[in-house]
Amino acid sequence: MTFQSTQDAFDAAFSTAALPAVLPAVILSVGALLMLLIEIVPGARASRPIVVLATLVGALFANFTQLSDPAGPVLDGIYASTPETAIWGMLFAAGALLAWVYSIGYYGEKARPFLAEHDMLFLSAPAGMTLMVCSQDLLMFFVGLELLSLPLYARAAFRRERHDSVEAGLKYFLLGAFAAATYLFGASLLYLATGTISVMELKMMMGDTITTTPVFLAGAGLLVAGIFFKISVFPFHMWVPDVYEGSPTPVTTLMATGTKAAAFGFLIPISFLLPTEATGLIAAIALLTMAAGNLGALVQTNIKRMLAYSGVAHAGTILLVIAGYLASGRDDAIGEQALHAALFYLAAYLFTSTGSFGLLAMLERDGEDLTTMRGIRGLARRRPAVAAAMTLFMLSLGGIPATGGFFGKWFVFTVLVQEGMYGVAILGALMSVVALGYYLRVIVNLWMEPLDEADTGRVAPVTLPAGIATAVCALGVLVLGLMPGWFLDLLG
Amino acid sequence: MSIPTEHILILASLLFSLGALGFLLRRNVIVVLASVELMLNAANLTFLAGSRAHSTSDALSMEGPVFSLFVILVAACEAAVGLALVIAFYRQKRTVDLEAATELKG
Amino acid sequence: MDNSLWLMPALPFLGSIVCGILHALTLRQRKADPSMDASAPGIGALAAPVAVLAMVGSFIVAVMAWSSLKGLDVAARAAGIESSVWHWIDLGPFAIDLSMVVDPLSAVMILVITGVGLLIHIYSSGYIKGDPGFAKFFAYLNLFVAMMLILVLSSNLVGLFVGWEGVGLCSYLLIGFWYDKGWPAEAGQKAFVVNRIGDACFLIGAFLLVRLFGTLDASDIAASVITLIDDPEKLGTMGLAALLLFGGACGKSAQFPLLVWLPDAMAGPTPVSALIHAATMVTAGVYLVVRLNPLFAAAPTVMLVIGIVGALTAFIGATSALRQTDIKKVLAYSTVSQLGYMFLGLATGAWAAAVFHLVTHAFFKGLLFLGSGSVIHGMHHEQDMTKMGGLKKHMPKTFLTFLAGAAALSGLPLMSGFFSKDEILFNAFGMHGAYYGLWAVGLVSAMLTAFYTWRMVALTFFGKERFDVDHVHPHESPATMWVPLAILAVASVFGGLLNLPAVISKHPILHTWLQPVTEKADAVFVATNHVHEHASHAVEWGLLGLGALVALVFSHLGFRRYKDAGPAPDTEDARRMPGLTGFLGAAWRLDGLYEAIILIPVRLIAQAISALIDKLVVDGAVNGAGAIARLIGDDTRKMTTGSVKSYAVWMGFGAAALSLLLIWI
Repeated sequence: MTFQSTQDAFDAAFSTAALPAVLPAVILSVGALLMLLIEIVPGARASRPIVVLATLVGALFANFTQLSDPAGPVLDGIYASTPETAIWGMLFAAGALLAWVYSIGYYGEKARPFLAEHDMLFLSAPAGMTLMVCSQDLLMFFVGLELLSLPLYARAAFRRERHDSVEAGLKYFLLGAFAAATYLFGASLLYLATGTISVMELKMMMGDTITTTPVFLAGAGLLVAGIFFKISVFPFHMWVPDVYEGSPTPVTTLMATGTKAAAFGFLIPISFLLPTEATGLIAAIALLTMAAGNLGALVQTNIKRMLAYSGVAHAGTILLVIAGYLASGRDDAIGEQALHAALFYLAAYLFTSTGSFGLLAMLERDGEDLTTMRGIRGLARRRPAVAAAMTLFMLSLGGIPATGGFFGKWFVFTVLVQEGMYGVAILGALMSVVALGYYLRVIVNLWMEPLDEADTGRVAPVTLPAGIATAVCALGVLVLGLMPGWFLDLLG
Repeated sequence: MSIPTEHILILASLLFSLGALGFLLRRNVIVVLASVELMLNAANLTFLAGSRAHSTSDALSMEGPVFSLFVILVAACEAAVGLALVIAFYRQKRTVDLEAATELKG
Repeated sequence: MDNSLWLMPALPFLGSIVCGILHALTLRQRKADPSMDASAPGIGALAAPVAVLAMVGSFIVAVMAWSSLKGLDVAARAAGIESSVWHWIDLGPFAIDLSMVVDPLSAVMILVITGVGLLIHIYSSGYIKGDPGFAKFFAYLNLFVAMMLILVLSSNLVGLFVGWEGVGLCSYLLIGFWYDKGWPAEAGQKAFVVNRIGDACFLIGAFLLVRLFGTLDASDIAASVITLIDDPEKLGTMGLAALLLFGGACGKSAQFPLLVWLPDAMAGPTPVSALIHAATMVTAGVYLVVRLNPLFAAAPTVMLVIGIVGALTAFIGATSALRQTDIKKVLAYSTVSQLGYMFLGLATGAWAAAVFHLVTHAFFKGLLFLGSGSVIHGMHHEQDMTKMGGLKKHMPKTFLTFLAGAAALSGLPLMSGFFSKDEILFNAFGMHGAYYGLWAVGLVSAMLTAFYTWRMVALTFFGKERFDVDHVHPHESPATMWVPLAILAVASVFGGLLNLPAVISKHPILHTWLQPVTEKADAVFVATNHVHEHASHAVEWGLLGLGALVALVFSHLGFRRYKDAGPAPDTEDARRMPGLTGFLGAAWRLDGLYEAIILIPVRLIAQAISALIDKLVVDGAVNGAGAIARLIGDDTRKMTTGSVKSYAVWMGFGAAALSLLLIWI
């Protein structure tokens, strides 16, 4: 985008056509700023939940209007609104809303004065995620990424009187900054090689001799490596269990679902930067990720940590679609199919993962050991509804049919099989054999272990907000599993 | 006489590697933070070199400089968050040694 | 009929929910009244009538479906009776439409599932009485039946897979039913994991089918195979799909090399072994192959593989059963072996014969399991045959029915098992070539079958009482248990009438009934110039006679050898051939073998990799870089290996490797 005059640039930026497209991000940003103001205006604190709800529902609605009539590329092509981004945006808003609902009552008295600060995260994070998936150039993505990440680093350490929380925040921050620097250096190398940071322009250059120069390829590699950190694939995944375990569970919920989804939402459209020869490499990374996640999860006794490793394994599964896309010789139709597969997978994963982390958040209030395999023993006797919901989520994570998780895997493997990658598909399917082992352990502990009668009365009661959020998540998992066509119809 | 782009690229790469090495080797969190700044500045340098290489006499390639402005901005934000975290860490451990942050593992 | 088909799985499903609620109520009752005995059923006692009623309803619907299918003319039967369609996924070119179809094949299956299932439900109400999880047991059992019906009724492979996973889950829950005993839950996990290996194959096979046919509708696939057999590339892919689907079948039906889970699954309550691990679930693999028979018919190599696997499994199962002392283990290995026969039948294209054996096996093996359950019940949970003996006078009804089951299993002339096994062996003989070898293996396995069956009968019911007569008082089981046994005994004896050999009957009933299902595969056989030669009547008579002779001789040998056995019947053999006896007793040491060839290398590789990476990459990078850092004047007295750093080393290593690899390739 070389501007002939300043006038052109402003005309491009302030076109009224852009408004509906950027409205979701604007609503979320305004809400986040309001939330900060509430903190300092006396007597305004009571309106905190109203602001959160109004903002997130508003964003949900603003995205919804983009679904049927997307504005396409706006702001001189640096931002685009498509049916896919509208769905991403709705997922982010819904995910943030659910995670926020689970945070109600999670924190003790000490944290109460800072809750507005905490809630601001649940508005700035979806704003950042929305920018990430809508961005059409490398800079916009970076801004979205930082808008999401910076508050997240701080919120990971929100329970600052606790060692694990601060350590999680510090680890996440340091490694995140390292990854961001990697991304930036990659972006700068791409720019040096091609003279552009626009996704569209980069895409048009593919096939050029420029794109086979070492500078370009090194840039692509570093850029992708920076994003790999966010989606936590091997060997960029080690921080995940530590940070997930140490962070407050509602914050973990947001980290585990939206962050990953937003990074994938950008990575898949720009995966054309990778040469087709990298098919095997990406497939190998994906399989290693699945292996690392599944093997790590198998030995965990803390369920939060186990879910963290399981999230790593899921990221590996989704990464397979990129291998499929590259194997097709970067065919646009396959690219779209890959994006839709990932979108479906992550939608199902969002509901499943939010629900399971949320339930852990609810159980955690009464004591830490309730989120271990020991702690949930025989929970079904005391809280059958909680145990039933948790079972549903575990089955979905394991990819059992009639849950959303099944079709997520189904669509991913369809892409692979279409491209003739049978070996990869079989290895990937075998990994899910391993995965079921640890999901089942949760179910076994919930239902089949004898109850420890001495602990009676220790289990936290189900609060109304958490109950509603769990019901929504369970409904989401089942709707995606029983009527996947309905979701796919949204994409047209 | 202008400096060839390759030379700037080599300098930036060295700067980036130096920052990365500092990140990997130093135990002091403050120094680790400074190392990240070094890596970011390597990117800035490359952006500017790219802008110079791709500008013509009648059209400037502005993405590079704009990008590096954003990088500087974000670096400041990162420093703010990072130092806050370091203070919280120091309050608990009375040290800024990264080795002390190994409670979570496995 | 049509839409009332839904009732068939819906009734047991509802029953399952009601039983689950009853279980919860019982728990509450027990909590409210601590004086209540844990074995007192309380309100949970209602679970048995609820579950049995649900099964009765389901059975009635199944019979009605069968009779209305029978009313149709032969051409209409092939399409079957279809319920209304649920559009699960509609993606334009690819759609998943779920509906329930009763065609001749699924009609046979639903009659077996609901009929034998009903009997086993009735039996369970006596067997499981007094268990604290009484209502829960029926909830699982009913759920299983619902899932099994979904499996066989689904028109689409996705629906079939839902049932396929569902029955696996129920099997897992029921194997681990007595979780407080410790080991059963572990056995359940083994079953689940081995099954998942099969399921992975199944899924990939299904993906290939989507790719080939653009649909997963079973009848559409079966109908369009013949249109693709001229394309060699498509033919190859079809073969691969068939092989993968057979891999799935191997998992479910405990075929070599995935057979290790079934004997362990015997840890569950005995009615579960009878229903799931003998009569219904384990035959799902056979059902799958018959359902897609044209696909397999188009792949002769895969058929040969199936034949080899089947014969080998029959042999492994039969030999492993020879030395078991646990009565349920004998039956478990026997089931493995009989399933092998079914697959051998499939491999020869004798679809109807395989289904015939499936049906008779459901009768006689269900009967034997239930009979063994009656013995175990009467002996106060003793399963070791060396501690039984002489039970015929204590439990006459169980003894008589057990004799009928044993006669059928060992293939004594005119029993149901005689005809069904003979038809499979006859078909293998008729295939010539490599199949002569498979036939021979099958015949040897039949000898062994007769031997171990009568060994089991002799050890259990004849000879001296080897238990402590003063303390153990074996008793006959109540009517709820022996009446189902009697019904199954009649079916085991006369089941052969369903499909008499061609030399006796012009139109074998089952063969004719299944004609609409099998003719598509026969058409494929014709199109691939792979025509069956039918052996002459003389040969068939000869083989029938040979089968009868072998069964009689070896039954006699087995019986005579063990009818007066002492407390340790096999010590003489163990002394003379310690290696072989141990080998067979441990079922060819397959568990140990898998440990050696799979688990140990995986563990070693994992250790080697982690050691290598830790030493070379993490430590190496940190140490090496540390050395460089020292050179440039940095004072790092100690080498740092903090965890943030090791994560960062991994990331830095990853980013560098990624970039370099991209440049390099």
